[in-house]
Amino acid sequence: MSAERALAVRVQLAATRQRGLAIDAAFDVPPGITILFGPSGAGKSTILSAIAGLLRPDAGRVSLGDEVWFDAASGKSLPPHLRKASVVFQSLSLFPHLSALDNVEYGIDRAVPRDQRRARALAMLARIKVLHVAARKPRTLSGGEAQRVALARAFARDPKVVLLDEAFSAMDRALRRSLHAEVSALVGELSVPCIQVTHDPEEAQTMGSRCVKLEAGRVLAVGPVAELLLVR
Amino acid sequence: MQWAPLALSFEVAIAATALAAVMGVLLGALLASRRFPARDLFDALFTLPMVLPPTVLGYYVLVSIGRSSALGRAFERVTGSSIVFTVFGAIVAATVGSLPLVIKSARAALESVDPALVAAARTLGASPLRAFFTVKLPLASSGILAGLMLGFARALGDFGVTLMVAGDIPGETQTASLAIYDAIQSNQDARAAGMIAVLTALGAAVLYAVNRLTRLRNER
Repeated sequence: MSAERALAVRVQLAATRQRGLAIDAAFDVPPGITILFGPSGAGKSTILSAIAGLLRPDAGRVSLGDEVWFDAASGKSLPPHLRKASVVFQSLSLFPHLSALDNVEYGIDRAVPRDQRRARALAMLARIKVLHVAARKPRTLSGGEAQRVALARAFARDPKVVLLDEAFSAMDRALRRSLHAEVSALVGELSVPCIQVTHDPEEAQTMGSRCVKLEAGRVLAVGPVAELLLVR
Repeated sequence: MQWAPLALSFEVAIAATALAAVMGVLLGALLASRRFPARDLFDALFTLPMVLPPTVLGYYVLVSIGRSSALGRAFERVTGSSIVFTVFGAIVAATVGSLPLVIKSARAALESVDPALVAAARTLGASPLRAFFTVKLPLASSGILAGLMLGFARALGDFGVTLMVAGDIPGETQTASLAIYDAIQSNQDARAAGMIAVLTALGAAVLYAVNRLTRLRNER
């Protein structure tokens, strides 16, 4: 297991036609869950994409401990597949042509022997309480089952960073609470930085304790959820 | 009923479809990639065979693989036979007509794959190549298969380009469409009837199957 390392994010992006908003945000994410909170269009998803390597910032630096993922000054940019940052998108993006089990197995390092990859995927599905859907295709899953499979896929691969992009927004409160328990336990065991994006204050309060408050592409405040979201 | 020209047509069409599959998916993937410069220009260029007269296409093929071309001479040095007026010429001729159909459908099918799924694969540790082969290509496969079937039907029926490039040598390069022409020219319609029936049935079957495949893809 990797030593406890914080994710340091500094992302600057000029406004473009698709994204009518300039982004200039810097914050640190220690191991554990950090809520990235802000209204729709504040730039939350864009920042996650930049951390995952799906989008190249104009300036800034993204690093995990002493591992540099992106550095505009030196021109370094690690491609997404070498960053080991798991993302759970709001759309979940489960592969429709693969079974739930194959979806989870997909992200596990290919250097691990096949039977061990399978065993790890099965164990994670069991742990997150969806072992019974292992053989099924995503389109046959209920919303809650699909969410769990997506989470299993993100965690089964020993990620170095976990990014949850409104991953629980479509859920009711009871489901969200039960999944929150799973996610915090997993994040705690792996001891990795985890960013959870949300625009819903109630969801922020159930899911996290540390919060980065974002508005119009800029960080307004960093602190405990309770303080930042109650004092308005 | 003549079986030899029909059998030759099938052999040529299968070889041509295999060639068109490899080149068509590659070129379709290039055209579908957003980073590829001037892709609409290249798309138009690759689509030209669908609108040009067979004689013009045949001329281009002769210029590029004829006995005086670099490609033609290299082929002759290696295999000892020229490309033109052989079955290889017939294969190249059939490929020219079917390639645009494969490129078009491969591009459309690859472009219709949700980019978020490819992004998900990349964040799950897949190199661009692995993401292409394990996510993008399988999800585009029914569209590509439809294109290959159309390309096969097109290759099976090629007339003009084959005539110019491979000639009409009975027993060597005489494919079914050429044999039908010869039979009718010499008032031996009965000789052509079987081949006409087989080609028509096959064309109809391919179009039906393509429609089914397209519907299947839309329902997913």
